[in-house]
Amino acid sequence: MLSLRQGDGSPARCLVGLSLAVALTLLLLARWHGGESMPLYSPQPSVVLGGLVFGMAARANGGCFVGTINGLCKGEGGRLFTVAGWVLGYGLVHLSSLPAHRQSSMEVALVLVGLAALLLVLNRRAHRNKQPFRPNPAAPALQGTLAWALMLTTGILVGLLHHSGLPWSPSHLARALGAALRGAPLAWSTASALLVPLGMVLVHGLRRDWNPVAIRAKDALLLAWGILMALGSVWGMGANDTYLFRYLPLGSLHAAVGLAAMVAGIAINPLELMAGGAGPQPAAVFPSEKTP
Amino acid sequence: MAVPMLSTIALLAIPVVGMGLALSQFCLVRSVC
Repeated sequence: MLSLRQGDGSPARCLVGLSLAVALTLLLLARWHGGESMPLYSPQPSVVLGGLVFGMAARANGGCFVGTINGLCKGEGGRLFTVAGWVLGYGLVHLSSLPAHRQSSMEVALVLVGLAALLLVLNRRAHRNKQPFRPNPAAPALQGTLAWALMLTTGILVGLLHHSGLPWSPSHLARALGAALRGAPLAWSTASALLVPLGMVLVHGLRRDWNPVAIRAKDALLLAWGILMALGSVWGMGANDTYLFRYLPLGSLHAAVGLAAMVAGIAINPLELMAGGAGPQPAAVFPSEKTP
Repeated sequence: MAVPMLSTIALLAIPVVGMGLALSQFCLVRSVC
């Protein structure tokens, strides 16, 4: 299903490769620190609801957390509404964590073997069809070994960041700002999440693909989708990047269930439902989202 | 000594991860749609 957009399966290989690199890094760091274990969560009905809501809202928004921040860093001003929606959503709802248990070595091994097997299958299929690995259709030079080196380095660094406990991701920052709306203190370390968009701005500056799009009145609708994305990730105890790059590599079953619900939610286009089947395709809201 | 060094490396890694994510155009929503 992940290869629907690009027939060469690059998005699926990219996601699985990144997850595998994160899982291996977390495993090695845990061994280095005396075999520490991370908390895992069992799926609850709220995870299914959260995944569905997040998937539908992210589809209508035209991107997940990372995709939205990347769009903003390319000059899509309307994305500010989505970001404001995240903060408001996290400010509105706060739930306690799902029941947790400590990960076992069997769960970690199962995840590693599963991800490695999936990557092998995807790669074999791509090789058979003579499809190179190209994670970014807008950068055709980035393919093969170079692309894999970039993906795996990114995965290793993401694993390092999860292990460090730094609140580094864009959703961390939105969650902290939402909590601040409820009166919670804002830690200085939260500002570290601003380094992610800094890296993205650097890339777009170097590639000279900065393409400013002024804020339009209809972009205000993104505020609602942003709020729903935040609510979905609270109910689902994570979404997208936290599922794929944090909980799934650790072996948390709730991430697998949440991802399945999220993919089902993405398949539903709420704009089409609202317009009786003739709604606009959200992937064309911003110029950078046009499929190749 | 090792833990503060790891934290410093982690802090320096954040913008690099941002660059990697921007270059890979990673987004499950756009992958599925």
